[in-house]
Amino acid sequence: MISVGTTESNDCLISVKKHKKLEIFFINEEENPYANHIKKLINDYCLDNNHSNVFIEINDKGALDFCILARLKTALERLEK
Amino acid sequence: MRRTLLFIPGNNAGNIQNAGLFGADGVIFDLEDAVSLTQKDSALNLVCNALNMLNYECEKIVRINLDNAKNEILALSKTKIDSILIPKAEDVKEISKLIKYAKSLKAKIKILLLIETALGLLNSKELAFLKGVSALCFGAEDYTSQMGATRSDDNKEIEYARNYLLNVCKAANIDAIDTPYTDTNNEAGLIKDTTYIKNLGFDGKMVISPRHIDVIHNCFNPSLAEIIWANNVLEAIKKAENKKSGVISLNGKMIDAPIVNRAKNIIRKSL
Repeated sequence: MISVGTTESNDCLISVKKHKKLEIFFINEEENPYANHIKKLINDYCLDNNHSNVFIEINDKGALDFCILARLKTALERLEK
Repeated sequence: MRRTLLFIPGNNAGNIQNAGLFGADGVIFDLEDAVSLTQKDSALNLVCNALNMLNYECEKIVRINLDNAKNEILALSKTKIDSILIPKAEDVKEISKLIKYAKSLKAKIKILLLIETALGLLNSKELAFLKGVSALCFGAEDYTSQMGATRSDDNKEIEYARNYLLNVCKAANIDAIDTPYTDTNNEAGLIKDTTYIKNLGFDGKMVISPRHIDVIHNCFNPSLAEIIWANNVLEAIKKAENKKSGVISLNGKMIDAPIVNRAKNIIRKSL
């Protein structure tokens, strides 16, 4: 797994690995009121950028969209290398 | 106006998110020294997204890495960035090429150069005149480290560099920005240092702690006595012009062009 980001406040830790399909796993999903929004954000980004074979795990610590998308982009770029 | 330029570590999401809330005249998102070598890519993506997706009511500056300058400038040119801070500026040809490259991608981007080496200071009289450069910033920590100097409270070891850089900036008609005050818990020292560089003629100071911003702004803002004096000077000029009088004086002291310019500057800074 490749991980990008941190578990500090206002950040998130996103881990990715190659997978047979696009799958998003949200840590502590039931405790996060923004889980659906974040999963949609990640899903849309992956579809828009042709990432359909990846497993993504997110550990959100209150990150805003700009941060989630930046961490995701970096993780996927590192996975491609 | 660049009284305060606040450094924000480029890979810290929380700090980036709140960077605009402290009231600095500008924020410097740092991709260089504040980011470890393994996190440069992550910081670049984070800063680019922040510039495009968050609103900052101040000048948005990014300190890039000299050894990856072109790639970072290319990525930043696609954002709402205002200015680039190029660190360790020394080689005039190299910096000139980078400025041209940046301008070819984003014409309105402003360039600030960080002078923090002996060679950089020596070449600053050419660097300051490069088209597109809008400020020179002095980095005392790297400079004194290279010089083998010991930092002291009275700052004697950086007096020459400060004055030389200031003279170059005034000659080139660009902003002169002083080194950060690094003792975050010494407010009296900060006031003394800021008052000193303001009186020398510096336009502002880089900042590493948000707590320093209001203190520095207070030092740079004209005092009530200065504003009253400036208004009196401008009033005296107006009266003399109405009377078509050639010689102008205020309280027995002659008023000439430099005095008028100083008064106008005080009024401009007080607005």
